[in-house]
Amino acid sequence: MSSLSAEMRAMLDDSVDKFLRDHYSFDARRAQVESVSGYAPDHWQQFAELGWLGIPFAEDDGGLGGTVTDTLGLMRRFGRALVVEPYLGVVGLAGQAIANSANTDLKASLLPGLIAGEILPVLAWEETRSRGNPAYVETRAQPTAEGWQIDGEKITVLNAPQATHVVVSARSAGNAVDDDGIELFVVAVDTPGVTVEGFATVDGHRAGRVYFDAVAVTPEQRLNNDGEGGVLLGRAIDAGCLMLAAEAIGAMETLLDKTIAYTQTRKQFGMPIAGFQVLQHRMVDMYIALTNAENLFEQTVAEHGGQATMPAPAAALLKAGISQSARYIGQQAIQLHGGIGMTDELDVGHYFKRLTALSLLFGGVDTHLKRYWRATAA
Amino acid sequence: MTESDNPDLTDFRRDVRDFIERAADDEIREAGRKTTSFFPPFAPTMRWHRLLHAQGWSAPSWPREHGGPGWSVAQQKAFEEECRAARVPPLLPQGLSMVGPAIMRFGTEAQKAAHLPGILSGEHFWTQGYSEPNAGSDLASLSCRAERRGDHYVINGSKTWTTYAHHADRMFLLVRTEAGGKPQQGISFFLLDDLDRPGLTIRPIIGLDGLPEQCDVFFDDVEVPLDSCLGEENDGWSVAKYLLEHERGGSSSFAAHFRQELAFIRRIAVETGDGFGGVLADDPVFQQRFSQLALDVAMVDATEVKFAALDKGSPESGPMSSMIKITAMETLQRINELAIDTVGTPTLTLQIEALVVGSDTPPIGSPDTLTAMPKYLNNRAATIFGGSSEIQRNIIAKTLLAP
Repeated sequence: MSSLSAEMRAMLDDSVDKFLRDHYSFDARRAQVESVSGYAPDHWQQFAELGWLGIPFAEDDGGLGGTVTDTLGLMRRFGRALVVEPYLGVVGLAGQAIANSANTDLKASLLPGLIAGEILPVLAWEETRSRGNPAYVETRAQPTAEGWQIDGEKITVLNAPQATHVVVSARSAGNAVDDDGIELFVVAVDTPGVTVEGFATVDGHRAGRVYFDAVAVTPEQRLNNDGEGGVLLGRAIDAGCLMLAAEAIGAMETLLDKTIAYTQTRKQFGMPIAGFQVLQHRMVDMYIALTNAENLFEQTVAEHGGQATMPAPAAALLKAGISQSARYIGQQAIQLHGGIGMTDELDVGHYFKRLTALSLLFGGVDTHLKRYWRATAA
Repeated sequence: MTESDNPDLTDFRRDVRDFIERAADDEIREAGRKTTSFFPPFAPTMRWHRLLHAQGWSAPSWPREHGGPGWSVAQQKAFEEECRAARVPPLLPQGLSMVGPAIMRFGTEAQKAAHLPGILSGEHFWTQGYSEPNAGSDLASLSCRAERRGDHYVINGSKTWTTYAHHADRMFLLVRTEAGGKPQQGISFFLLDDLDRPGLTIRPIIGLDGLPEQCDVFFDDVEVPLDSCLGEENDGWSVAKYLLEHERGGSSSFAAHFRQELAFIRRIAVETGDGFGGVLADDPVFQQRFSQLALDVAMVDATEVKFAALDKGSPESGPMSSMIKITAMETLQRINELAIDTVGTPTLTLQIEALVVGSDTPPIGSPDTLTAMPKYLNNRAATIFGGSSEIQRNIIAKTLLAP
């Protein structure tokens, strides 16, 4: 549950709205997407100055004293404007892994820099064979005299080319599928043996593959206590899923608004195409898909948002539901716009692509329905 | 007809395979692998077209008198399947499957002689000028107009979604030659044999995959000869409708194409982890989605074969072409969706450079998965172009519910 006052939240929402209105036109976004870094570092500094980077962190750590649920208003607005700054990856995934860490020294050394916008840690958890299951870890953390040696490869690391640090999951014991034996380490990207292969993604964001070749780490770089790495990682990804859900809902509501507006303007056969019943019903179905997803989201947040760990069945159904709605609304928005929806010039296609990415990230519909079954099976 | 009905088909297939093996060089095969929509990479595909023509195989469905090989429907299907299996690029449809058959049906002897050989050989590439910014689903409301002025027509207006117009040297288009009456009246079907004309501007449109495939074409007092009309002046709608039937259901072999896509997904699934230590191919949900699509493709196949034997322009061919368009394109979109779900997040990597034929940029991740996302994105257009699925359903309803 939220830890910030209602006034504080309203103030934050207003500041986000104002910033996006002033600085985040679709053309401005396009320029950022096409830039070398893929985002605007001066925006990131403003996020820091406005306090946004500190929303879900304790006041003792330099944050605003809120929780992940307090970022959801911002994420929803980011979804509406298709914001490409690495908030989900840095404040969400990596930030939560650090904030919930038992290693207070490491936390104290990282969070102030993150909140000030000076460092950009990202979370490297996904692997070629993990398919949305964070507990599937092949990357090894082999014990050494000074700590561990990490070897392995991570894929689809959000914001990897923009990162200063990587929070990486690696296995010190057990087999790839075991829930136990997972460690989380913080590694600077310029550490010998770390290679980042960065790339742009279809939705205008950045990600990368990160390779670890005999990377030496010490106990001071480990975020978790013995035996607690898997839980810490799971919490971070569940937090990321909540933030992703909020962003998806923002993108879906904007896309539905744009579709309704377009069909009311676009004339064929002598009338606005919104007058055709088949399209009316389609838009009603989009509205139903959005509203059901939104209600499920709000209920899940109300019931579980404040808990240290979200119950797996609820987390799984939320991600499956969001992914399903994101697919349907994205696809139908293109269909109802017709050819113009297929162009790079119009923003509609970019919402569609972001929703496509959000539906795949952290596991898609099939993965999470399977996760639900496994979590509820006796 | 099946293979067992025709003992010659085994030999026929072997001849096709041998020819492809011999004639398709690395660049052509690369173009096949890097095809991400109905419109394969232009230059290598046209080169493949000319190589097929030299063998007499560029237009399997054309009648022999116009240079077709005189194959049976079963042979045509077998040919298509072998081409798909070898992953050579499909030939571009605008000439061979669209304007070509229309010229055969409606053209004068002079027009046939002037245009068909270049379409057959791949010497010329035609682009289609149908849609306009304000005439999409409601095509008959088109307003690009041609006026007679002395010994030529003068065209003013614009066309959009003209695929590969930036590569084209010829264009067929619908223009309004007479105002008033029903919207379908007063439309003429023009053949332009030269796009390098004063007042004609082509502007590529960047698509969802980041590449230009469609174009806008603008006409500003463009002069064309009086013999540009295919069919009667003001009766272009008949030609347009006939051509659309070919575009929608006619001469392509969707089933062979889709089966290759499914085979590709199966290969990926055998190698892809399910997140719990197994592979996706053993996952019941994956198996269900895959097999459902196999069923959908079987239905596309069966209907397509039936349509191939039908006289185009007969009363039932219109609705059936619409049915094929709906079934096939919606099936394709589900196949493309299963492909991105199977590949997972690696499919999010934007790989514009690596997708260029002849590129030095190596793909990130498996080369096999390079095309999954561009196909998913590009083929969202499949239920829009050539008449949207909504329009196709209207066409069928008109017949089905006729009093």
